[in-house]
Parts: sequence; C-alpha cells; structure tokens
Amino acid sequence: MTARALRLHLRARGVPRFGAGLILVTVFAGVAAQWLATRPFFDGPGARVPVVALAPLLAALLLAGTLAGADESLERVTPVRWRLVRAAHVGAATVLVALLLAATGLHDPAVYGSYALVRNTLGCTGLVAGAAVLIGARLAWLPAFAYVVTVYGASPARDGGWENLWAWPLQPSTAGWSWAPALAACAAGAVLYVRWGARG
Amino acid sequence: MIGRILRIELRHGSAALAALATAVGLTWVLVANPAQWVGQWGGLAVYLRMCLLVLCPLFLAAGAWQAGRDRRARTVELLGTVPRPAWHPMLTGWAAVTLGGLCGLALPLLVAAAMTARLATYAGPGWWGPLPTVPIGLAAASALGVLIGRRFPGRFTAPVAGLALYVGLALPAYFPDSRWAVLSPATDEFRSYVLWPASFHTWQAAWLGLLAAVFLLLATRRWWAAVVPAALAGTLLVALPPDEPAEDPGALALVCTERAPRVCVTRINEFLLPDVDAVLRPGLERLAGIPGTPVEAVEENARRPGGHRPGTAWFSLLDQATLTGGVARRDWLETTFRSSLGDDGCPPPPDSTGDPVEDASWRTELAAFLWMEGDPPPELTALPGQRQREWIGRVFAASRACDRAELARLALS
Repeated sequence: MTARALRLHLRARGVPRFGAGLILVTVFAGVAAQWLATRPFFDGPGARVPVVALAPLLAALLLAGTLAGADESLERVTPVRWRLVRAAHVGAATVLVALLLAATGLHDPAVYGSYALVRNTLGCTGLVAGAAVLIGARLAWLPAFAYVVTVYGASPARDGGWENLWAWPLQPSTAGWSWAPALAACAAGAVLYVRWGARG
Repeated sequence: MIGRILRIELRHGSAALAALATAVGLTWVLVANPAQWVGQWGGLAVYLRMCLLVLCPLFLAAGAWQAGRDRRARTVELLGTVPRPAWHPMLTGWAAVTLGGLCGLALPLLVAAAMTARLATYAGPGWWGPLPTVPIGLAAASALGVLIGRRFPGRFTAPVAGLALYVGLALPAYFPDSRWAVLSPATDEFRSYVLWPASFHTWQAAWLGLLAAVFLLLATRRWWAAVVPAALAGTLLVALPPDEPAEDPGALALVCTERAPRVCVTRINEFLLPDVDAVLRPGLERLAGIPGTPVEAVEENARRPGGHRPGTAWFSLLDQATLTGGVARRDWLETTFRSSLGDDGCPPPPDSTGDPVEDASWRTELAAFLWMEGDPPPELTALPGQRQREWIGRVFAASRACDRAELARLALS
C-alpha cells in the first residue's frame, strides 16, 4: 500500500474525524479525572470511576465508525492484503487509544487510573471489533454501549467475587480477575475482525 | 393527516426500539437499587426522578436516531418531493419515539407500583408531586435528540450524544450546594420523607416544557418562533422557585415494637420492622438492666441534631430494603447499631494513634464492642458477671460523653 493509498484509505474510513474525537475525549477525560481527584469531598484518585468507565467506551464508540468502508464487498475485490490492513488498523487504534487515555491517569495509576483505563480500552475496543464482525460496523457501538452503561447503572451491586468478572469495567485494576474478561474480549474481537472483517 | 403518519411511525419507526430500550433500562435501574423505592410511595416517585439520569439519555438517543434516519437512508431528497411541510414528519417522529419510550416505561412502573402497594405503610400528602415532571423531562430530552440528530445525522450521534447528556445530568451531583441543580429533571436532592411544594414542581414542569418547545422549533429552523419560549424560559431562570422543601412529619413518625426493649422505625419503613426487630433485639436484650446503656433502638432518620437521648441507640436503614421487603445486610444493620452505642458525634481524639496496643482508651472500647459481639476478651471474662456488666455500662457512658481520660482509666490491662 503506497503512502497515497494509505492516506485515501484512512480518509475513507473517517480516521481524521476519529482522531479529532479521540483528542476531545482525551482532553475531557484528563480534565474530569483531575477535577474529580482533587475535590476535598471525594476520596482522591478513587473518585475517577466515571472517567475510567466512560472515556474508553466513548473512544471505542468513535473507533466503531472506522471499522468498515462505504462498500466492504467492493473493497475486498481489490488486490490488497486486507487481513494485514485490518490487523494494523485495529491494533494501532487500540494502542493509540490506550496510550492517550493512560496518560490522563498517570497520577496514582493503580487507583482507577492508567491501568484501569488500559484494561477498559482493551475490553471496549474488543467488544466493538467483535460486534462489527457479527452485526456490522453500523451498529457495532450498540453491544459495548449497552453493556458498559448497564454495568455502570448497577454500580451499587459491585463488591468483589463474581462482580470482578461481569462488572469488569468498574473494578479497580488491582482486581486480577477483572482483566480476564477484558483481555478475552480484546483477543476475541481482534481475531474475529482480522479474520473476517466487518460484516457488509 | 398527521395522525396517520404518527400511526405509521409508531408501527414501523424507532418507537418500538425506544420502548424496548426504556423498558429494559428502567427495569435494570429499579432492580439495581430496590432499597430506594421498595415499600415507599414517596420513595418510588423520588427514585423515578433519579432514574431520569439514565432515561433522559435513552430518550435523547432515540430522538437523535429517529431524526437522522432519513439522511442515513438517503431518502431526504425523495421525501422532499412530497407536498407536505417538513415539520410534519419531524414532529410525528419525535412524538412517536417519545410515546414509544413512555409506553416502554409503563410495564416496569406498574410492576414496581404493585410491589410497593404490597408493602407500603404510608403515602404522604402529595407524594406523587415529582411524577408529572417525568414525561415532560423525557419529552424535552427526545426533542433535544431530534435537534441534534437533524444537525448531525451520523450513526454515532445517538450513543455519543446520549453519553454526553448522561455526563451533563450527572454533573449537578458534584455540586450539591448549587441552586442551578433545579434546572435538571434528574435530581438526587429529593428524599422520600421530604415534600417539595407544588409551586416548585410546577416551575420545573414549565421550565422543561418550554425547553422542549425551544428544541423542537430550533429543529424545524423556526428561529423567530423559538424566541418566544426561549424568552419565557429565560424569565423562569431569573425567577427560580422560592419555596423550600419541608420534612413530612407523618413520614418520620416513629412506629415501635410493643414489647420492651423497643425497636422503632419511621413510618415509611414500617414494613421492615419485624426484620429489624429480629436483628437488633438480641443486642438490646444483652444490654438490658445495665445502667447508662440504651433501652431502645431508633432509626437514624428520626434523629435531630442536638437531640441527645441517653437511653436511645440509633441504626441506619440506608440501602437496606430488598425487592421482597426484607433487610439486605443484617451485619451492617447490627454494625450501625453497635457503633451508635459508643458514639455521640465525638471529635476524633487529637493525639490518638488508633492502635489498641498503644492507646488504652481504644483498648477499652474494643473490649466493650467484643463483649457486644459475644466474643469478650479473656481479661473481661475474668471479672465476675455483675462486675462485667457494670464495667460495660461505665465504658459506654464514658464513650458517649467523649471522655477519653475515663476510658483510659477503665482499661482492663
């Protein structure tokens, strides 16, 4: 893929818009996390739960728009190694989102900071990539959105045990088992997407 | 004519999806926090207003999804050839998703009302006051969704705008003293035992209704027509509601067990009394006959600042009711009761380390609490029975009097 083709490909997938949205989300996450962590009436960095839950979700929602072109079937007849392109696309986007969001939680990273942001980024992008394969990129945002919002709505119910598994987006990063579903979603979503691509 | 489009929209548009989403959303938040509403009519009305934190974003997303449909389906030009004002389909689309969403709320609400009716022991005057604002607030949210969806018809507008509204509605919770919080339909300022005057609810309904009108007029690009409701809404902003909320004495009246030692709950929590009594009675009976210790346990909601009652221990029923009307966390209920035995809002001792090994007063209190739990330390069991009870009485009395020196003197070793 030449540099021009790459540029056209990225533009066709709406990557500039995704980049602008991602910058907004990062700035918002950074400001909100800083504000929440410095309020005297909260318990310091532990008050950053809303940012940890919602910022990776927002970034993943924006990513969903870039996972398919205007006409997938037409694209696939072109002599391009699409699996490689898809792997690079989803891999680079996940790493970029994770790095940017992690930078917003560097202060006390273990208490609802960088580590939890990275975990949730991996989980949310995995959910979105998997959904793009199963139900198409148009509605790929729906499962991750519904899942995280539902778990967030039930936040009073979280206190260890099974909650580590089903409510992983809200667990502290020190809860080891909360990483398992996030990593599983990330691996499954990435493998599905790289192998089959978004449903046309 | 509009009625026919509305029927078609209701049957074939996003209304069914909106109904499903709001039904699932409301069911989920009701099940997630039963303690807020089970058994209390006032609690149900108030909690529904808190649920708007989740429901408003859903209605906004539904409105945005509906409004962007024609552009996503690339039928704008085709529909433009129809000799019908552009605001007709837009207004019917908004009405359809709003009605659909409201219908979706009906079933979980009816179930919640039936569950509340089974247990409720009190319905204060005007407990339903916060309810009429609910559909108006939701209609305003879907109107905002229509406005956003017309401007940005993309596929990701609905979820992103929904999340943004969620964050926006959650913001006032971080500014508890702000008087601007009354502008939001979703508020956590309400309590099931506090009555807000009718003028306040009317003000909020008028504000949100005008907001909905402004959003819809802006969505149809009738800029000048939007000025009128916007100006009216502006005047409401200048004249924030003056009336203050007042506690409902009927809701906070105490209902007690007949046999001594008494256990009392407020009238809105009467359905929990048998369970609370079963949990706290053993502890109260353990204290019976010890001078200076409480002879009754009373729910904390009835406690007034400065109202010191030496014979009373307090307990909290916060987040305690389960869906079936029982007590959710018996150990926590007991903990709040026990900690009130030795606490009367004392300031933290300045030079204390909080370590029972170094601090004799802490050691004394710890021994008394272990005795309450039925696991007294050996140095206490070494005393004869009557001496043990006298010692316990003096410890709790000193503890409630914030007398750290006396507590240190009472140390057993």
